[in-house]
Amino acid sequence: MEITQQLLILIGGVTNTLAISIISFLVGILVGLPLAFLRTYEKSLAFLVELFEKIFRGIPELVLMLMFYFGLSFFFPFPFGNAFFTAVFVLGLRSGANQSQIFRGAIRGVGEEQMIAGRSVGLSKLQSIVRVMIPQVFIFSTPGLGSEYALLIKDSAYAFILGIPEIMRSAELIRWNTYDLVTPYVAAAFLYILLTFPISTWLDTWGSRRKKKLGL
Amino acid sequence: MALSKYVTGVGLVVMLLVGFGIGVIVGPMLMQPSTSADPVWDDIVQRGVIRIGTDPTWPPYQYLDDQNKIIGFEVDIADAIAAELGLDVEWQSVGFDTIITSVAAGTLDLGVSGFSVNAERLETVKFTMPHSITRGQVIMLESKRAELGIGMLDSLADLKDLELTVGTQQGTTEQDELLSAGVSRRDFSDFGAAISDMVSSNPSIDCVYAETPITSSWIGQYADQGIDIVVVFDIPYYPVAFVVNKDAHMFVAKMDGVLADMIASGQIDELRAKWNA
Repeated sequence: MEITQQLLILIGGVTNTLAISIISFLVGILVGLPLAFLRTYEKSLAFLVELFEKIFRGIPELVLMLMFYFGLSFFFPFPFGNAFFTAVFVLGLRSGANQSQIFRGAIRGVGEEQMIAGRSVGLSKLQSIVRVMIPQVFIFSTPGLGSEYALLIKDSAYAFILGIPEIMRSAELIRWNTYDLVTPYVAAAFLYILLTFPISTWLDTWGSRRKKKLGL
Repeated sequence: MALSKYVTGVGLVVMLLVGFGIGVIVGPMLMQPSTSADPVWDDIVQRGVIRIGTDPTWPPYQYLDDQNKIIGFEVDIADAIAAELGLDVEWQSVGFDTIITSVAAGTLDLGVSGFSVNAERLETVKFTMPHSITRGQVIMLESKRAELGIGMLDSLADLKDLELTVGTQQGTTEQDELLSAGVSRRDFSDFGAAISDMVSSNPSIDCVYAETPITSSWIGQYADQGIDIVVVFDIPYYPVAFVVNKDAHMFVAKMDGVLADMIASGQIDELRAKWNA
């Protein structure tokens, strides 16, 4: 196996790792943001949200992934027979549970007076949330979102057990096709650092700068 | 009033009887799961393609060529069977652990990944006729063998008498056998790691108990680097076959027919020689 071929396999792996992480991250926002507001403003549903968070935060990703893939693919070959779908489904919901916590902290950080101010100028509860709260909540949650993104990049490695050709699985393919059992892992480690470090650091500094500029 | 009650009562009984009658007649018709004996084969014929799952990390059975195409001994066999049946193949690179589940769930038609036939797997899936029987082998460096001055060993217990430490993969039948033979043992996460340890400059083990094709492919790999590894113990091990869905009676019969011909005509042996499998 030529070195160029190994690099091509690894680059394919990077693409898949990014695809899994970014889609899961977006699913996480779509799940986590409403959950955070539900838990803050709909006390009657807070219990359900908390239960969801406890379940998805309390079970290791590897267990979740194998459970959904092996457990559900037999009964629902579509869509759970698709390894990529299952990986994104599990990581997305898990990230939703995490992000709900991040956003809830940010809602508290923005403060109740912003909500009251919104209501006082005649906005409905939903309008106040969408127009006043959410834009500020995002700025407040950047450090948390940065580390959540890094976490997703790393957790996407578990998808290798389902055979999705992300970085870890690519390293595995190279290991057994070159009889070199160590170097591919070193390359994978380097790629994970490359993918996690700059983005989470950048999000963190961007958030702080933005907060200072807006005087929050 | 009394009459209407009587009529309602009779009416209920009649309706129950009629309902029961309809149930008896229609029930079995609805219960029939499928009109076909083998839904898997019907699907394959309709599609014209066999969806095969493999984990290409097992040279020379299945691995990647320069163009990342999946090639190998078992790949050639499966391709030849498909050609004989007039079907196309679609090779999918998947994780080894997922293949049996996917075949059982019907998202793959065939699993080709050096599967040894065992009782546990037979509870979930069906196997084709075996195309090979692997060999359990203890391998060691030729220099080590010369130093010990031994030839072929008769049993694993000889390793104990020689006071050798044997490397193997945890959770395998090799590990169980070494355990019952009472041999000094070190378990690795995989056979490759054990063999790498054995040839390293500071080895923690004297030899490795593994099976073909791992042993033969690693011996070949190290021979290219001028390192001689030899087999000092050799026994027949597990039959290797392809995995199909439990319902795929027709599919398995068709493949077994072709496989039997390939074995009888010597085609399988030719492929084995070609791939050194």
